[in-house]
Amino acid sequence: MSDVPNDVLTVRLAALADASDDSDWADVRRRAGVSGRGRRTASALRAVAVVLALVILSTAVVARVTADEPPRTAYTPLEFPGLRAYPMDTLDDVRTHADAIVLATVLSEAPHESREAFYGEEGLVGRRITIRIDRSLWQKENAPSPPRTFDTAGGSWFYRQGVREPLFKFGEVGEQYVFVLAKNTSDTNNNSYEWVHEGTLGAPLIGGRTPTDIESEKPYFQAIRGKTPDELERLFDTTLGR
Amino acid sequence: MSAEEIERVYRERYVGFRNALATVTGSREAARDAVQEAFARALRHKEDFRGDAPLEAWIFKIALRTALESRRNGREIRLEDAVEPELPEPERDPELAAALRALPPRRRLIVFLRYFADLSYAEIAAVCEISEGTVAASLAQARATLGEALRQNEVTR
Repeated sequence: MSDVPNDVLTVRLAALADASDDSDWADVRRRAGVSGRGRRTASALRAVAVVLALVILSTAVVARVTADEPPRTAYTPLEFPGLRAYPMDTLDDVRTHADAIVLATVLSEAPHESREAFYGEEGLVGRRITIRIDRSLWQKENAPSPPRTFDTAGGSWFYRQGVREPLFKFGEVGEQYVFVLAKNTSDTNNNSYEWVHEGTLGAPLIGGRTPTDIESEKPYFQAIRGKTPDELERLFDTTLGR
Repeated sequence: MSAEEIERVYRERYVGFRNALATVTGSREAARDAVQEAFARALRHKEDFRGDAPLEAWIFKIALRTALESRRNGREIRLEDAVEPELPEPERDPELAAALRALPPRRRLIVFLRYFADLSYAEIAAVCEISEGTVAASLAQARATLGEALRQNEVTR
């Protein structure tokens, strides 16, 4: 804090800081399941947390609208930066956390109202997308059905001096994706979506198939690579059950 | 991202993170639990760290979200939701507590991130998803406002 003047304010704030150190790295490791013991407990607690909280995983399968873009040679999965609260790497993760998997088209995009108001034209601004479900690929038994058309989170834009750029490409208007969805079972309000995604993973659909050169070793991507929507539906039906 | 790097951040920043989070949770115990859980999450999901922000900021953001989750009984939390940080023990300095309370919540959070968590401008910028310039301006305005409030209290005392 060398740039903070050593004034009254600094001294009084520092006096309120609790200097005692009750850190416990071993406890962190136990909670993380790193120590081996307690891994099952940690997993069970995470599962409970999932029931309480919103879970949305989205996997993108993209049909490029513009034909003049140079062909890509490899496809890196899209992931939202920051915390992924839930494991979403395997089909088993999907079975645990998802309510439905759908083929959907992104119809439109807009800033998230509250974030736009909050940040103005500086920094990150939330982006919402409106999607239309074109086909259901899987739905868990007794799980709620998503509406035909709804808004969901679509990543972020970065504003710098009024100029807006996408933080990363996701949910581009006119493209078709496979969304792995779960419903937010908590109370909704103006700042949350009923169906949103966290820990989004995506892979484009080229010529009616997911690409075979996805740059990810995660089991989920290995499972879906190269498959058509029909094949994905069979895969989900046989491996996820209902 | 290695577990050793996360452990380094833990050992260097634990006290500051806990103190800053106590302004959000309202208690030292809840803040401690949030810090512990946040570092555990960071360990579990360390492959998700993309290196586009300081590691300290990434972990603190997890901790902040964890603290807010605990406050909201597990409901979905967005960091842009109103965070209303308060001194956990305002009775220890009522004047300063009142002056801080008069600041906009986001500016108050930036003050706590700077003075309690000891985050750099770059780290605060990453946590709050604003520019470093905005962090600097917010801190300067906060210092001016707080300084003036404290001076007025001195005069009227």
